[in-house]
Amino acid sequence: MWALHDTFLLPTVRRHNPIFWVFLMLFHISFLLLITGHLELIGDFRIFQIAQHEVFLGKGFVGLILSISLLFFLFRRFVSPNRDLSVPEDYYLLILLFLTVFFGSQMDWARRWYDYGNLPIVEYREYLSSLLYLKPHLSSDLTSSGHSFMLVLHVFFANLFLMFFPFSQVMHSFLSLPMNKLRRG
Amino acid sequence: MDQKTRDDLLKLFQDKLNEAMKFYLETCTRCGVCTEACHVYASMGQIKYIAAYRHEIVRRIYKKYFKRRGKIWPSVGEARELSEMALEELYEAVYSCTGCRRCMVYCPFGIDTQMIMSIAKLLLIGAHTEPEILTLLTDTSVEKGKSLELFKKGFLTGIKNLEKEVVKKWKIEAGETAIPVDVDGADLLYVALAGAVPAAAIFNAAGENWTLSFFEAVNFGAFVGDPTKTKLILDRIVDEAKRLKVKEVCICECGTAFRVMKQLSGKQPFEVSSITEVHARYLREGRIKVDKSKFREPITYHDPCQIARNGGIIDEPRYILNCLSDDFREMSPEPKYNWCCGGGGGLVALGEDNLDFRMKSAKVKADQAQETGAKILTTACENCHTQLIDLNSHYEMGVEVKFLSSMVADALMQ
Ligand code: HEM
Ligand code: SF4
Ligand code: SF4
Repeated sequence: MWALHDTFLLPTVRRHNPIFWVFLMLFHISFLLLITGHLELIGDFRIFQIAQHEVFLGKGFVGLILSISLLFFLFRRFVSPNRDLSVPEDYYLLILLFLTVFFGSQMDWARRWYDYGNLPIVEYREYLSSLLYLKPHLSSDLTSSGHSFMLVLHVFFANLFLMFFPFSQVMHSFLSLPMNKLRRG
Repeated sequence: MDQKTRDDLLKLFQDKLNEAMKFYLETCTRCGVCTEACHVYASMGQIKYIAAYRHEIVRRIYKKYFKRRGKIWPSVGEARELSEMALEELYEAVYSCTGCRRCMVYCPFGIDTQMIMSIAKLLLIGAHTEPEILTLLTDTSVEKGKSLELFKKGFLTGIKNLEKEVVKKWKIEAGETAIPVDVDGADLLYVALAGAVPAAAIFNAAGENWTLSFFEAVNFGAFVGDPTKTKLILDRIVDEAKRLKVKEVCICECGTAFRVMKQLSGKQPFEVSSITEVHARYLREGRIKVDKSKFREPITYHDPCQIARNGGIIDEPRYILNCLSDDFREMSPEPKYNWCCGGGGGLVALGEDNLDFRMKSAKVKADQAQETGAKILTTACENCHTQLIDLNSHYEMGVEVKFLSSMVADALMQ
């Protein structure tokens, strides 16, 4: 039980670096929302669709929060002593994520600012499932919907991130719980 | 460094890589929360003394040789070759770390620096660049165990001399042995350091059926980080305890010995306790009584890392101190976050060589103790005791450094 508490509320960070803690919590919670949002795109699996929701949970704020916290994390690493602790991997990750998230949320803003109408969710789904079956297929509706360059970049960076993920320190997401168990004995 | 040496060293590295160790090496996000945790960094402010930086030195080698990404794209994780220079860095990192694990309470993932440093210690031994004195002490200690018969005699004569002292100071009744040795079926086996005088007085006063161990508690094998020798030194005490069929093994004021005994001995037919626990028990049960008027000055207590944070003995010393005095002053921050004295991990055993470093790196400790305004600084670990005495003279703290057990012995009411 305490291990769960340590893992999800990060009491040690809160005690020693409260500002950092605020951003961390914001970031991770938003990230969770974001994953939930993206599940909409894999609509074929019914279990994910128990609660109806849009792709853009939180009307773009999630993306905004993520971008800001990522920038905060990034700039934090430019300042000594964190600067001396960081290795290039840490920067790449943050930049990559920032770009992904940034273009992702831009899509939403662009949609509202320029009134593109609804996102063609159905087509996204088609694209993703076609990827899954190793037959990439882009419907022309997608490419012509006005903010396609953002979409392309978003997907591109997201794929890079997913490729990098298992080899990077973000593996902490899976290891954190067992580790905190270890500490609590 | 030639290929053969490197391969041998990597083999040692490999042996250390159990599941927990891999997690520790993989998970760090270099978030820097542990920056403020280390007393060495807090006192001296150099980047190389941040806990995560110490890990990175080990981690670079890990990435280079045990991860594919370190082979394909080394610069992304700053993977580094295992070279003479790397060994020097390892030495710097590990022999400036006391293994106090204060950083572990800071880290959101609970990464254990001491454990990561144990890789470094083993590599240094493998390359024969560990501090010679520690190996020397370890080997002497191991030898002593081998030729037990030879050294038994000298030991017993030594005990006779100590006995006289006990008898003189704490008049015990005639016919009683002041320091029993090798008693079959005793309840409690006491593992001491050099002297056993105050402890003996207390055991006798409490009417304990005890016996003194032939061996000293301190485990130099653990200091130098040699698992085989650590085990050797540990096992002979375990064997002795089994042979005498004792119910409890009580470790004297030595943090390392206590932790090694408690956490590495595995499941045994006896309990392991620290002398502080035993004294607190005697007091609680009324088996001994102490005179509160003996110490009139304000007292503060330094929690030895291996006994408090890493061994869980926190309430007992406070109970004892409240029996001894009305003016016990807690240090701040609280025990879990207590600053290390700066002498652990074998650093004190290195003696004069690193006196300068030990003094500089423990400035925060000296400040912390002084803030309480106490005149008596007590502790329950030989290592801490030595280091605190050095600190006392270096920073002119003007306190008296005492063992908690000696204070109990001094205040004992007949
Ligand atoms: C469940 C327990 C988790 C804990 C305790 C945790 C803790 C942390 C901490 C302490 C940081 C700060 C590191 C830094 O500033 O670099 C961090 C950053 C980060 N976390 Fe988590 N996290 C968890 C789960 C996750 C999950 C599920 C993800 C999603 C994939 C994730 C993604 C990230 C990312 C991308 C960063 C920024 C990486 C960076 O700063 O380089 N985390 N996390
Ligand atoms: S174990 Fe102690 S000495 Fe070593 S890095 Fe951590 S805080 Fe510093
Ligand atoms: S607090 Fe833990 S995760 Fe953060 S840098 Fe230190 S060791 Fe790494």
